[in-house]
Amino acid sequence: MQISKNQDYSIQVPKATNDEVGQLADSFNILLQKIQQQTVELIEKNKKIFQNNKELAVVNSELQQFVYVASHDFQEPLRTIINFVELLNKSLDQNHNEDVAVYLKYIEDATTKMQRLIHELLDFSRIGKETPLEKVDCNKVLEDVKNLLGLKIKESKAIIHHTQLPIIKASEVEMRQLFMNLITNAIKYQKKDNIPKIEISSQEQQHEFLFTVADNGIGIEAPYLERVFIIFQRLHKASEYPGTGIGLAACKKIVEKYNGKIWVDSKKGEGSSFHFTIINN
Amino acid sequence: MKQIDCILLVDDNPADNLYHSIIINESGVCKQIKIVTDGLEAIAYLEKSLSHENETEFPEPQLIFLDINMPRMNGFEFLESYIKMNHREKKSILISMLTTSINSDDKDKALTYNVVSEFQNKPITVPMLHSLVEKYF
Repeated sequence: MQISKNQDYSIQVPKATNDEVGQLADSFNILLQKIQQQTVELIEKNKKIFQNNKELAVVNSELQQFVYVASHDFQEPLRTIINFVELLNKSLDQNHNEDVAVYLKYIEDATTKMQRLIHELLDFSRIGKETPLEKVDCNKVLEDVKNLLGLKIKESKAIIHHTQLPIIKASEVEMRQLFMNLITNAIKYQKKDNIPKIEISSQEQQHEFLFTVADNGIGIEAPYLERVFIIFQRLHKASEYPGTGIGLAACKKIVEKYNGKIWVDSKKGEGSSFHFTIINN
Repeated sequence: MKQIDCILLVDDNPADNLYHSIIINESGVCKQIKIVTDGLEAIAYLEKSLSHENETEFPEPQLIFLDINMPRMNGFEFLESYIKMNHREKKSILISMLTTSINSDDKDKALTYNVVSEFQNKPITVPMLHSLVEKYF
């Protein structure tokens, strides 16, 4: 009685006799000892897990801080290089040294690329931060993204349609980044002179919204369908399709922050459909 | 085009100071550029300049570009000291923060100071200078 009431497995049953009842008491006591031992071990293990979790959280936030500081501080020397290359370029105009102009062009391209990488890395490191949840109208987010991508849309003549999208609880900045990255990719990964057609839709499911961003682009081969979401993973030469390999990793990080999933259906040459879910609360 | 008399650059980075001087000269928005390398020097400069002790050495700036991260006295600490300065001419000086910081907290913090009119990211550009001068002078 006392055992089940208090869940105290250290109590032993008194052994009165040496007969079968006594043997039963013995076995019962051994069983109790084992339960007691296992309970103690379990408590120890739980403590250990709790401790590990705490340490992980600390390491994680340190890492996040490191990426932030690193990407922030890398920008300064880089900007100095860019500024002076620009000045060199200007003074060179008068001297017409073609070799030097070529070298400078390479420095300029490399530093510009580095600047973009750092910028995106910085954005990526920011996704980890706690952000207050707000009501986000995805229709408005999409309009914002279309405005921000105005020039790209105009140049590529991209046609972007969307169905009525829901209002969700998330961070507006992050949702904008998510749609921005997916739509930018849909415009970028196209055969030359193909007019991008992008359809954005959503479905309300039991506990979540399922969003789809479908394009008519170059598509992705089966072995790469999961790898595209890994940071710095690129499938194309920079000369074909420039990029940093951060965009989709950032998308994944945002979606997973809201306990959602992101994946892609695609066949090479037949366009891609990116799907992601966001909890409906 | 409008031209002001003097711009004061407050920045500890010599490369930035050189680059910004070149760009300011190119823009033609001011007659002279003065450079100090931290907040303490800036306060010392302003003390002299606003009391008109030596107007050739320490001309009064109409525009100050203020970096945030500097040794000894950073941009925010400079603002604190600047507010406490007692000079009437101070009112006509325009302060623009000028920083690499993309941290929006820095921007929000800077704009809580009444004496700060602008928050610009480095580097200074010719169009930036023209629109500043157009807007405020």
